Amino acid sequence: MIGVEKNKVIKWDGFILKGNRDKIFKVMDCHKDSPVYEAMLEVYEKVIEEAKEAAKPEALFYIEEDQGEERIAELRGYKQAIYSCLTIGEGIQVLIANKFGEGDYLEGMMLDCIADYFTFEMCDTLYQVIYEYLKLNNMGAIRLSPGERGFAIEHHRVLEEKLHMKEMIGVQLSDSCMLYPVKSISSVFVVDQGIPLKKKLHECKYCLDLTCKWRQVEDESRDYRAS
Amino acid sequence: MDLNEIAVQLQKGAAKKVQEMVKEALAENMDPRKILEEGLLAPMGIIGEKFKKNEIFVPEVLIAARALNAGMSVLEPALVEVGNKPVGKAVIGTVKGDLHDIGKNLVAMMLKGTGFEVIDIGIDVSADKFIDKAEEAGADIICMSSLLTTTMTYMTSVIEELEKRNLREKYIVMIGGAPVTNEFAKQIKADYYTPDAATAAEVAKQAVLSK
Repeated sequence: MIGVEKNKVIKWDGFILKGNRDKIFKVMDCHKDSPVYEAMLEVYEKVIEEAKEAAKPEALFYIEEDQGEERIAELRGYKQAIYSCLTIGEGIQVLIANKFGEGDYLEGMMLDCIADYFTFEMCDTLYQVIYEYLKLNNMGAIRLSPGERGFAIEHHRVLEEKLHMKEMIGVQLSDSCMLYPVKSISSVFVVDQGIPLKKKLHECKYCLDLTCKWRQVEDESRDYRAS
Repeated sequence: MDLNEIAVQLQKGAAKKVQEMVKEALAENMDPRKILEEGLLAPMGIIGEKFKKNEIFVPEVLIAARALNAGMSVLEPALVEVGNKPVGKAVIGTVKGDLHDIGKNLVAMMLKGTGFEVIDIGIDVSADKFIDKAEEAGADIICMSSLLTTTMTYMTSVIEELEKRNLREKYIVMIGGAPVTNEFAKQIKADYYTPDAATAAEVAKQAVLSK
């Protein structure tokens, strides 16, 4: 387990990215009976290695004890907050853009899906750290994600201020407060004793986004939207 | 060379075979335009149609597009030599504030597969850039994409800027993306909204031909 220190930005880069061919294929609507399944397998074997090589997975998190963040109304009345941001880095983003630029839409699309899956794997790993911390302190958490379900995307500015994302892991904010590289995920966890502790960060079956492709993959899949 | 055979191989996604057969066809002095139309674009049209009807899925389209690209890489110089003109020119991008590009890329792919010259200007594109690029390229269509409700409103700014520059009538404006609807297209006075990449390419072709 990663050492957890309060009131300090912690950077972690010990992620192991594996990918999951079956799930990625399902999200791409590639089924075993497809006439192009074999060709897709060949492409996957090639690009998964390229993706692993290009990815630079890094995360930051910050546990704020006795938080009193006035700019985020959703945090009012809660004891603690955990701010986090993770990214698979710009390298894979550039690789994907290059594939599309060269007209290789197949490899571009597949890499994009793999990159999504990598960020989900990272979410899983990072949440386990947060989970252990919460469990140890008899607390639970609600995850909020800027830009989702009414939680203002502008709150990314607060995250930037707390985590120094650009300086620490190269994640920048666009003028419209989106994260770049795009394959980055940010969260604000509202933490308190009265909140139930969830072992899983997200369960697709409870998610309101019924059209999400990842939801359709398997019951145990997660899409890590705010829940 | 039987162009139907190229078409069959393209639909199977046999990129190398398509490339070799295009080479052979050129060596036999076949008209490059005929190779393009019958050997490459026609089967890609069939692929698009099947995709629209949910008879095939994205991987089959991607594999076919890869074969198309392989064939085009050999055919393009010959097309330039005979002065072949594309169906039309499309400038495509994701609007300012939005960094998503997968949907936009799929539309670009399908437009190319329909015979368009596509100028992909990327993500986070300002109104000025859309219009300047369209002017520079002599485009027929401006295609805008957005994945977020917070950024789709920027499409209005592009249309307003076109009006401001007295260029609105010059371009066909197409919009798309997850939150975009036909109602929204009407509201902002875009010419077309299409729900998927295959339809976008088909509508773009019809729009240019009837312009």
